[in-house]
Amino acid sequence: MTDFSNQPAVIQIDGLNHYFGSGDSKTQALFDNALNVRPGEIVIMTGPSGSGKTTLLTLIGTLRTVQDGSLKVLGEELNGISQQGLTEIRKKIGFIFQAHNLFGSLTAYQNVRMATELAGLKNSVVKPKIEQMLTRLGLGERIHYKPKSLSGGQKQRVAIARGLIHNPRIVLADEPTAALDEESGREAVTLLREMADREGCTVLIVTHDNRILDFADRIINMVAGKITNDSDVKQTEKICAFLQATEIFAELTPRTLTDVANNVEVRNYAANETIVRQGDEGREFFVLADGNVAIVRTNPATGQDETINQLAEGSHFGEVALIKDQPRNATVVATKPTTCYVLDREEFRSVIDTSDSFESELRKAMFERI
Amino acid sequence: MAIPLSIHNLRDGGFRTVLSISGISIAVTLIFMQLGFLGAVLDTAVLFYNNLKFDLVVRSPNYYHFCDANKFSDVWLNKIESDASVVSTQPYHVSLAKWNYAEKSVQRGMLVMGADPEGQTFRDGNISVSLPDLSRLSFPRAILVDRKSRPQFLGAKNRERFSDADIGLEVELNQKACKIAGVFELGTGLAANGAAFIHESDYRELFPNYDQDDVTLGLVTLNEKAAMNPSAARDAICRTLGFSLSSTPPVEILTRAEVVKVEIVHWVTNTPIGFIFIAGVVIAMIVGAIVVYIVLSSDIAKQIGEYATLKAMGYKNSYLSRVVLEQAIILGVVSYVIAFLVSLLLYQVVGKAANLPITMTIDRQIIVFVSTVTMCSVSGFIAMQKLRRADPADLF
Repeated sequence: MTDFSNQPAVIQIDGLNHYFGSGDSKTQALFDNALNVRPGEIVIMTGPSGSGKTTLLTLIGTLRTVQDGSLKVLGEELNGISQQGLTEIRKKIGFIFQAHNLFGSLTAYQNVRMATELAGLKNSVVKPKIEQMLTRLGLGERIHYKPKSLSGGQKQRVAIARGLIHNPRIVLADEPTAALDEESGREAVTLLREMADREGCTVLIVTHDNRILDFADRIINMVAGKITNDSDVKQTEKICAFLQATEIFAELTPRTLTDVANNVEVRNYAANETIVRQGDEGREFFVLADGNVAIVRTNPATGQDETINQLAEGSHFGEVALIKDQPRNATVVATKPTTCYVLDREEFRSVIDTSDSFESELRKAMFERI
Repeated sequence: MAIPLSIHNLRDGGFRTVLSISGISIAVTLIFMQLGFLGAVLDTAVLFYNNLKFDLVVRSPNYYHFCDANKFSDVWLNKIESDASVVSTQPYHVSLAKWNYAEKSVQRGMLVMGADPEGQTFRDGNISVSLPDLSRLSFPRAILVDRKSRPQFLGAKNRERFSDADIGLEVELNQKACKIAGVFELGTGLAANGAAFIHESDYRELFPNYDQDDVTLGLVTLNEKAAMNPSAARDAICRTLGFSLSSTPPVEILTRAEVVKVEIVHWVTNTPIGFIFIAGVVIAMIVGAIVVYIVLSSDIAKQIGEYATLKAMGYKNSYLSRVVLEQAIILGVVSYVIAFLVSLLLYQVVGKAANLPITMTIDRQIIVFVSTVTMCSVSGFIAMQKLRRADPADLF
């Protein structure tokens, strides 16, 4: 399996705004969005209807004109691109729409063929590929049926095949599994997963289908026109597992834990780097994910720095200044390369508010430490 | 090979496509019929002239059309006959008369032509076939009747057409008793129900206002040399007669080509006939265009999501436009072929029923084909505008 993660991003969004209507009725649909998607990533976009995820998808798909901000697809800036440039990019994108939009006059095979014709591929080259893909999607017996002889799910699978047959670099899908039963839904997503892994195809899916969430590399949540949450699923899982093993987070509900995991910032420190300085304002709470730190306090009598404690992974620090709203009472220095999960003050407080166990664990720990 | 989406769309349309092809075929058939009728009217309008033997025709400046030809004095004909380039002149008389026959008291309009049966009036190979009968015109008020006269009005014995069986039948022309002496074949236009031929002297009896020296048409035969260039001969004769260009001459002299042209222009422009048939063609084209438009635009509306999907895939607008235009032209061509075959049949049936010689000319086939394709293309172009509504941004 090729690792595509260090290749340049196929979708780069920066400061993207979008508006509908004009004059008094002008409303803003997207607010200052930023997003980078790498090859081979499967990104699921969720969010309430009207949150702008469809607008974002159509912008990425070159189906809408970029108005404000930067949107690069496959390295091409779409803001101000020519019509010719658009058609060229479109050929490298596979679309799977919620409505299957198959030509009633064409067979399943011919409908899929329409997507390969633009590439000018010979029938003899394309034929086995189409047949293979349709068979894979459980339509082997119905390759030469017209849509009116197919069930809703079968039609949707033909549309999926049409969206994928020309080896697109990017697949944009809107509720691709909504019309499918569990099994064919899984098969469709597995196909997407394979294309992502094998060919570095990037997949963006707008869905509310919980059954396929675990296929995603990342889950993006949009609210009111802004990406509020962009979580790396594997990273989040790792953080969750780690936090759950620590004393103070052990009692949190999985939901709160996921919230925390989604909101932490992963920060790396070199050996001897100062993480927290005594006397500074306390803004963040730290969980030591990897490495070691020393707690150093300046002795007011001698003016000498004294190491008062050593912390290993799974430990936490920084809560005193946050809870008591006072300056840092000690300096924390990494003693070797160290990774910390960092929670800011607001997030920290909201966790305290939602979990009594968390608060009592913290107070216990604080008491012991002071 | 690329998938012929247009053909698939039409084939998949099934009954709807059949229905639309029927609609367009009817419109195209209508065009064929209208042009056929117009052609037939024009053919019959010049039919009389085509059967008469002449190089130049002399007629009144007040000539309107063949059945309403006015008259002039034979003095002019005698003067023309004395010209060196002229071999002979024949007076010819034409007018509408009231026809009725024993069984019915209703009168019908009948075109009556009068000439000297001994004279060289008719061109060989035309109506001359039946003209041995002209000798029978020696008895008083004997007439020859056109076999192509409309039978239902004129009282042929077998109620279909005049034949030798009708010889001896007593009829009245302008309330004067006449007797059918034989038949000939000519064919009548829209101006009269039928045609009859009568001896010159009897002709004057039927029309009391038609004086002894009155002539309707003067048929001039030129000598061989002059006949090579009839318009030059005509100009020379006019000069000899002292006709000036500035004033209206007492008689007008025309060549065969001019006569035919004037007759056609008359029927097309001076009568409602040209307008009626051309209007019929235009209306049929509009109907056809509307049918094509409705079919195509409903097809586009039905598949708007599919067309938008093609755009999203990277298909250009020009591809989609081509699919629509192809559909329009295929509909047109298929409908044309059907309409052509139907019209061939109708020309036979209607031509027989209406006693009009409707023939399928190459010119007409080309004109109708071009009209059909144009009509369908225009509709296709208008329907294409609907493709703009195929916005792939609406698909998500």
